[in-house]
Amino acid sequence: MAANKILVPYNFTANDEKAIDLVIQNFSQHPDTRVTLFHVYLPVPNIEVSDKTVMSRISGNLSYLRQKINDLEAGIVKARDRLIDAGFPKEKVNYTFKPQDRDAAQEIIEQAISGEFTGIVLNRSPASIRKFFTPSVSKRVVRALQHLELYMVG
Amino acid sequence: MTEQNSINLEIYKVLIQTISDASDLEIMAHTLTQILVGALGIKGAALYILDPAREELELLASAGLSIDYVNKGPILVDKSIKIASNREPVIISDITASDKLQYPEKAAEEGVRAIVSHPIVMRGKLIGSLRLYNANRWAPSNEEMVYVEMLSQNLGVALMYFRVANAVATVKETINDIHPVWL
Repeated sequence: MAANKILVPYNFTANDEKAIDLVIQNFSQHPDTRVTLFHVYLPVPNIEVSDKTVMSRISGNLSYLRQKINDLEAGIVKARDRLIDAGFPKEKVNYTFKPQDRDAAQEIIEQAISGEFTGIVLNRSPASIRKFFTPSVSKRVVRALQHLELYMVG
Repeated sequence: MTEQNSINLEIYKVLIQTISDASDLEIMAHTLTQILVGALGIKGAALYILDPAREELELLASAGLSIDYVNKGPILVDKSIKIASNREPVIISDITASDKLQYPEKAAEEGVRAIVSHPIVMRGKLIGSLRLYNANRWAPSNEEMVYVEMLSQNLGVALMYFRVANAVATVKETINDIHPVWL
């Protein structure tokens, strides 16, 4: 039987913490299971304005935002460490933290396919008002990855 | 901030272009908050949409703020910034001298000293909120507030567009799922 390879899209919400709990409960006793946390972030945009004084001020401020992205990576490292503390071997847990260059659902789908994952942990907020404004990421992912074992929290 | 306006027409143009070029609401919202932080030299920016059933503001995107701060808890419409049911702009130039915040202790821990909150209103109804967070005392000029107001109005139109576009896409998807045998 092939070893489990679980993808956990992680976005720093309370539901994402529940996803980590689910992984711990279901897989921490399975030494062959590999877990990958996955987060895509929007890179700091390039802003071009002709006023050199304004441009110089903006460049300095954008460095601050880049630092904030580093802080975000520290958050996903913390989540990975939670898995290791719960009993996963260090070499079986990793994370992917990358700039986003397409919509979030597409990023997750491509990661799941290219990484040959066997399962995915998704979360949803059924009461979220956001669903009226943007297509549901979890629905699109589920539809595209029907061959994967699906674990849902929410 | 008061000596020289942090928003001028050129920056406003960049902001509006971000809105008009967007094909994805979340990407637009994140980029917009990043540009606001970069251009205004503030600590953070956040865009919320209103959940009318729960009377809560739901975070759509933020930049410059910590994970703990953006996850601080539900933001109740009446309590979040307790003025005129959030339909008027609110300027808290110094949070240490204000009782208008729902989470004053969290703001202090975050290093936020001043907050500007502008409602996003569409056809007279509150549908969201744009918030700007400064690490220092901040009294934005009238001109800066006019730019924030115009930006909020454009965000209202954009939110309405994405709301309708998403509804149409959902209907289209549902129709596409119908097997010809049923038609």
